[in-house]
Amino acid sequence: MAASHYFDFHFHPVFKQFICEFEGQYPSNRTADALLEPINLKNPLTDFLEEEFLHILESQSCFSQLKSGQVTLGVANIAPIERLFAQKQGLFGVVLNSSFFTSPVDQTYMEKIRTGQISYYQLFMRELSLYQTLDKAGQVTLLSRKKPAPLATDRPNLTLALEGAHSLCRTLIGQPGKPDTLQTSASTPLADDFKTHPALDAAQSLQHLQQALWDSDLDLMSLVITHLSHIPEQLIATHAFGLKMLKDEAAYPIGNGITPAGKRLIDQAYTLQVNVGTSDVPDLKAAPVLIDIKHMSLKSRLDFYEYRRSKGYQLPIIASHMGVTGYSIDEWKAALNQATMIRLKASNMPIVRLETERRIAGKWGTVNKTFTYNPWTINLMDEDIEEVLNSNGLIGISLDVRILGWQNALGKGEKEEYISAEEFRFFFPDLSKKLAAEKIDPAESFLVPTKEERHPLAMCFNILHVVSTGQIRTDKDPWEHITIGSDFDGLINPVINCRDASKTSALEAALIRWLPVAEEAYRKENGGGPLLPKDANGRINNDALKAHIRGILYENGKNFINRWLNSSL
Amino acid sequence: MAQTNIFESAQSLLRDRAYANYAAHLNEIERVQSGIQQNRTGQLSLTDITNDTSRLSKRIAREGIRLDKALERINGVPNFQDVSIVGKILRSATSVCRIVIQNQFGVSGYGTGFLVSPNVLITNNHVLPDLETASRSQAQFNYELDADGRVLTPVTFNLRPDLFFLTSTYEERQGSPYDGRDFTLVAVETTGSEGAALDRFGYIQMDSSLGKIIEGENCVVIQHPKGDYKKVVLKDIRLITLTDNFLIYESDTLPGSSGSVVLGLGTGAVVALHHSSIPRKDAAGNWLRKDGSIVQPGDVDEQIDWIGNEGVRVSCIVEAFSNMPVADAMQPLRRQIIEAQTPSLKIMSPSPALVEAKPTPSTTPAPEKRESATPVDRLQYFEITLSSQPVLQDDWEGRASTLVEGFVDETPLIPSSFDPDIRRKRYLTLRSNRNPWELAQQLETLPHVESCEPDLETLTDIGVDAGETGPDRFESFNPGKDSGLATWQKEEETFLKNFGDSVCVQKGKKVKSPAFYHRWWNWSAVNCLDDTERLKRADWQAIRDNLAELRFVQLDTGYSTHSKVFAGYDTDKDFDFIDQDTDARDLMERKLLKFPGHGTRTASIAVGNVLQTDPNTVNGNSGLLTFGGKTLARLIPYRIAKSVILLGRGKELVDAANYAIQSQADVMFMCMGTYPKSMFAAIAREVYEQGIIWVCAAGNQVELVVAPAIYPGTIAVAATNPKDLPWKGSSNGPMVDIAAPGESVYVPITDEEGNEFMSYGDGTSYATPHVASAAMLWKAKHLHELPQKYRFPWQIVEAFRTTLKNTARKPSEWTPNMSKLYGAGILDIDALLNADLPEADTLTHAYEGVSTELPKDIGFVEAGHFVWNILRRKLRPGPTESATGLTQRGQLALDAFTTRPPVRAVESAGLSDTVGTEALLREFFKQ
Repeated sequence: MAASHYFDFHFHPVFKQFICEFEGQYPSNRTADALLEPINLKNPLTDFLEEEFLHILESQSCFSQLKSGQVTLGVANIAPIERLFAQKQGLFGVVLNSSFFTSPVDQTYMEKIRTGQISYYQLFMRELSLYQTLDKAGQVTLLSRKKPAPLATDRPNLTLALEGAHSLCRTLIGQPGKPDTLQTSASTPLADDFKTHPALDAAQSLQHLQQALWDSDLDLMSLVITHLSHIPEQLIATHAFGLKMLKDEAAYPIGNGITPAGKRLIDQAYTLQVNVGTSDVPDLKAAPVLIDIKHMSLKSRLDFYEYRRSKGYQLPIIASHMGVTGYSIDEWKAALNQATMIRLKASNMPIVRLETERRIAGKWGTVNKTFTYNPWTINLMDEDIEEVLNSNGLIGISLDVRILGWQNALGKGEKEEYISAEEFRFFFPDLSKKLAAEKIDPAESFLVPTKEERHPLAMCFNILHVVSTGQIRTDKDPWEHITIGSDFDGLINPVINCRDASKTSALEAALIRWLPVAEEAYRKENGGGPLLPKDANGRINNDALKAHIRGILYENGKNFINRWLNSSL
Repeated sequence: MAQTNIFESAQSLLRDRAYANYAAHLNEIERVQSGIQQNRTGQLSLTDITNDTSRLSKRIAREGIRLDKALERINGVPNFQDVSIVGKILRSATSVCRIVIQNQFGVSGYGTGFLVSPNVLITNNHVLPDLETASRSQAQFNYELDADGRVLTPVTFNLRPDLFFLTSTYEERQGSPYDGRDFTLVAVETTGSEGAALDRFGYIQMDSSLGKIIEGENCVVIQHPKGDYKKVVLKDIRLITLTDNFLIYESDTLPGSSGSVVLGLGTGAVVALHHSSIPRKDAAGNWLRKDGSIVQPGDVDEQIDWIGNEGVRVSCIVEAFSNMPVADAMQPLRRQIIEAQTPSLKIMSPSPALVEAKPTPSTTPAPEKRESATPVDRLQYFEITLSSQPVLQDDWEGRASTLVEGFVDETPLIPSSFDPDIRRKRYLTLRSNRNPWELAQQLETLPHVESCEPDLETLTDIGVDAGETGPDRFESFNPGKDSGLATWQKEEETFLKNFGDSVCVQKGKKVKSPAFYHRWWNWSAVNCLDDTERLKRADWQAIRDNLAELRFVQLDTGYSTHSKVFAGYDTDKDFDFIDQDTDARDLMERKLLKFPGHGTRTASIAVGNVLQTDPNTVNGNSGLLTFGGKTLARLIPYRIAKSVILLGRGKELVDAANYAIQSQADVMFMCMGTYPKSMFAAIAREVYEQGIIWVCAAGNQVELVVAPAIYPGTIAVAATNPKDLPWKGSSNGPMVDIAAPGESVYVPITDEEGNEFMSYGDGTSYATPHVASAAMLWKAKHLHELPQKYRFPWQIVEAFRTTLKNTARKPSEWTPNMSKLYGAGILDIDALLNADLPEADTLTHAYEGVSTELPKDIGFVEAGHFVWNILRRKLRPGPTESATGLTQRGQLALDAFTTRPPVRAVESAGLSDTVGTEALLREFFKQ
């Protein structure tokens, strides 16, 4: 099997290059060659940090790594840095926001974000500009439905995606009343549109963006409608709590599912049309944007499914870089161990801390042998899996060990997640009035995985739960709806044998070896029928298994992207 | 050990007594039992059994759904029960424990008990009659079987009668009105066997309001019968009757366990504390066996013919423990019990016992100690504006804890704000027993601090002239010697006498068919289409459809279960922003178990519906957002005031408004106000920038327009009467945007006995929700158009303000001066909704040209606070005011405005120079 190709459903190939050099001008005039190589955010001073933290700072999916890892197809996500990353408090804040600690990070961006002198939209445009440079230089092909063509074989083929609808917000960060200005003499469709429309609500902003992309021979494939923080100036949907590494209250979810602005955005994304004619003689062509359910709170996701049904939307749902909780929603509710009402210290905002019993995925090995799923609501419930599969969507399994599952030995503080007080009441109406209260300082802590967690079995268990749930709950073949969404360079802590994109091929061997072990352990723990292909004697059919794994690592993604390119989703 | 068993002799005595009570109510019991029989055979609806209409209507109101649906649900309960109720019952079961009664000789029996607050349980007095028994006895949770029939691990907790013990004997005693109720409340150790935490067992809320159950409805009893594993009685056991202090329900074949919890199956709410079973007796008073023969000594319970069970009613328990004297040291736990029973969402603070056990680390704020604690412990709060120099700001962030003596904590005032001025504002908490104004003066000497102001509790504008006719007269609607109904009738007559001929009442006559059109006069005053008309009109369809999409927030005293309004509240989203640990004033203490009504009354103008308890005679004036009996936009209450006259700390209001921003409210209203504070100005601006329409009452009886109505970003509302003339108590001034009905508006009230009524009230408080409702209707009408038309959120507020003022009705009676002081005219909803949206480029930002306010001198602020909070009300200084008067700086500032020779502004002296203090207030309010 010479030089297999790999697909990645979710990564950020130029993110680290982007944050390390602020350019006064737009578009970027950095050379393509300068954008290919890895960047190490570590320096001798950061070496006192824990090893786990250092992984996050290393480059994981720069173009040279994609090339050596044969990752020739993927979805490049742009996620403008949210203001909570730019706060100076907390270890992560200190590392990212201090030239002393992290000399490569250009503090100009951080300063502008911290003080609200730039819009998220402009940040997005500037990062996109780097992709355009690479595209022009032939280092990458940015795919577009405008000109569907066979995939290039000598360079990565990327589709574009937005991670977080905050990227659509054109006013200065945190100040919805103040328009941003882009200082450039260049006339490009994106720059011109931004200059003439410095403030638009999210739905209109998306429409304008897609038109400007189209006019630039680009195309937006998908959109994650929330990210890791609460964006009050443009609230689209409540997000799922995702990180503890920052000392900022915006990390905690507020609200109750999808807002009216969120519904407008979904309508716009699903019904989007671009004008391929002229302004005088318009010729409208459908160019819808897919919705990625990652980062949406559980309530937001339920709202989303309900809304899709009410409007009859049929486009596939994607879940680009996920783990599973191993639970259905009812099982998850029943697994609640403890809930505490928290008042955040500065804002007195009520949120609820949950500690949930973890579902056992399976047991293997001699020490710490129990593998469990991560029950945080940022992960997929069985109902989510059912929705994605039934919509002919695609689930990308994350390579972030914190998403994939936990060991039993973990300390208490690491197990808790937070959900919005209103959403807590939605799921636990009778409990909400009985909660004990605590006031907390947003704490930062690091989830330090054990060696076993970094083990490929954790990933296998997640894949198998999707397969099992798909088999039980749907008529689809779940194997065709699973892929890998590494989230490389999205500040993740990767599984051990695939620390960056250059090691992607190692996943293939790992899956071939460990999926059968995982299947046995999973079924022993959770029951159910066979999940892997078997021959007449009940032995694993290796060829069929390898074909499934090829599907996960490339073919499923390729088929999906091709269907998208040809507007046949 | 027969001689030691007081428990058994008490039980026997109680059974005789219960029988007597049963016999005394035999007629009623027979009637209900015959009803139950007919209900069982399908001949009679469950809701037709009771003849207490008030109880029935409260029971229906509790369902919170339409009358017909509620009846359907209640009547279906014996056969079909919502699974959620079973969940509720199961959760309640968690809080039920077995009481192992121990005397000096060892275990003498078993009872049942249940937690009613995080660490206090209730059982019968005859189970734990005294401190000594209680201190030896134990509570055992989890004494039950799991799904596989295995015994769970029971967790045993010692009782702590030394922390809290309150009992009402099982026998009535002369001179002790609360005895005879047979309950004991006792504190429980928070850590049990093997370190188990008590809080995992939750607690059961004892809701003392009526309507939890009606005669004929099923009861569920959770108990440890004879000390056995926990059982739930799921038989068809019906409530037979309610007597003054007790309720009687059907008997199972076995007597219940003393101290069991009795729940209503229909609501899952606790209705009684079981205390005795009722044996059948013969004419001679002998207990009878099931076979009809006389019970003999040595007979077991199974042989006795039980005809009923008797429980102590929850309301009578709550009444007793709220009023019985307890030792000072036990007050905090008593308060906690009371708070735990309050139906509005209470966030429980950690139990006092826990706080004492665990010393709080100095870097996190500790709960405020009560006054009895050492005075050095007092937490004090300050709003600080940092220097504009970045170096000093950075230095403050790193060093505040070393710069400030007694430092506890400091945070950004509004953490999410990007406004450069607001980002300089910090909120500082420290511990000190010094005068807060002195501390503020001292903090201002730091180079980092540009200005500093203590954040003290402030009084609202309401209640300044509290009296018979004052705006807060309903806070204690006192029916006097008359019945509530007679008082109500007098009010109605007075209204008709004063305003029967007024223009608005007469106009209402034309459109309202019911005889009570005069109660709806405010509808005609604001030109709101008649309900039937609105349901017919096609252009209102979109409004009705969109209303539910909007978030409507009320900042007030919290909500109540008054049937006029309860269904209009969104109690899934409500929050309480008042610090639980801060000392409440006597005023609140007295009313703790009654519902402070201000929030309810003002809310009814927007979301009031039919008065369930009296839909025919007293009902009237539904909310402007109800359509055909449906409340299409529910109101989310945020509690920011301790009572109608006492706002908490300013930060609590800021936090609530900020939460409204973060959860993207559409319209928010506030019907109380106070003196201006820099932090109020900041949050009002933030709310405006985020596009939330914040409608505020201009103020009552103080002439000055109060904060937050005073700020450019809010919509300020003055009050008018049925004659279209300004209400004489309404604050007024150029910052008022609009007027709306606020004198003699028909609103819901509660009398001192908790009965629901309606009456006529005055206040800009009532004018405000008219405008807020109009804002909701306007936003609903233009829901999809607004975000397309206006690029910046503030333009939505400004578009509303502009249209509101342009379409206001200008009565011919209004003098030019009135138009200057009471806004652009009276709200005209029909015109507002029919007007085109103004173009974005015609709108001006409310803060354009408004210069940033310079900080006021701290002495001047102190004088202003003093005059506002103390002198104007002739009240005693509260805990936040210095008892010795003003600081020197404050005194000097006050002197500057008052006549010489200066008078020491101390509590006893007061200030006689009203002219001077008035001038100071005007300057303070910049009016």
